[in-house]
Amino acid sequence: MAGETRDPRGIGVPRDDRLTTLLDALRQGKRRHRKHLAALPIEEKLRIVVELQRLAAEIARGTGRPEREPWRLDDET
Amino acid sequence: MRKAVAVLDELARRGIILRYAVGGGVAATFYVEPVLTYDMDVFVILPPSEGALVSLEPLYSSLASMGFLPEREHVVAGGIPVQLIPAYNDLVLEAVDNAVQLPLGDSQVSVVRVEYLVAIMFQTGRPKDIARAAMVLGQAEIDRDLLGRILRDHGLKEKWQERQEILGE
Repeated sequence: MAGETRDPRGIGVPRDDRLTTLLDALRQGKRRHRKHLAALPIEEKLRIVVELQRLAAEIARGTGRPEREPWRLDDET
Repeated sequence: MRKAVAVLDELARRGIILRYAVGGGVAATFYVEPVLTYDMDVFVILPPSEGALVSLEPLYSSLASMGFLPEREHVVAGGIPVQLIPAYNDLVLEAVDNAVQLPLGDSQVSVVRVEYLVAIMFQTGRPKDIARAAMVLGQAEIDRDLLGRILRDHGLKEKWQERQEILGE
């Protein structure tokens, strides 16, 4: 732990370098995962899009917002 | 999606559309991680027609003859709602003319080139378009010279420079 940093509101908070290292590692992991997803074949990506639509529909249902119907892919995408 | 592409190819074969290119979220998904989208936006160039107004009637008649009836603003093909959007300005026309053929299984599909996709998202300018443009810029391989030329030619360069921070540039 060393020094002080500012949170988004401009309030001074103690800087914890261990936390910074952990967050950097998490960000790098996310970047790697996105790169992996971006490199998938389009057919696989479209299947993931449908999964995202299903997830969004579930959340909408749970929060009482209008839900949109997920695609029903009827071929090999 | 192959069925949707087969329908588009058939429309082109019949001369109902001259050219097409997939745009929007589906096009973005070709270049970056999958993005949540609900329609497959397809920009189409229609043959020249007489009269003051552009009519989509021949397009929808042909689709109906192929068994695809419009539902609200789209037709469903292969389980995907497809929205056919006549190329509505010079940028979109140029994007269709410069579309790339990308593999889809053992066939190919015409997709808006990534640099044009970013420019169209930026020009459209809704928050979700700007967010997608930032995502594409962060993940896809972009020909910066080409993107700069497109932005300049279509009067978007100045606005782009103003919004660089939002775009993560």
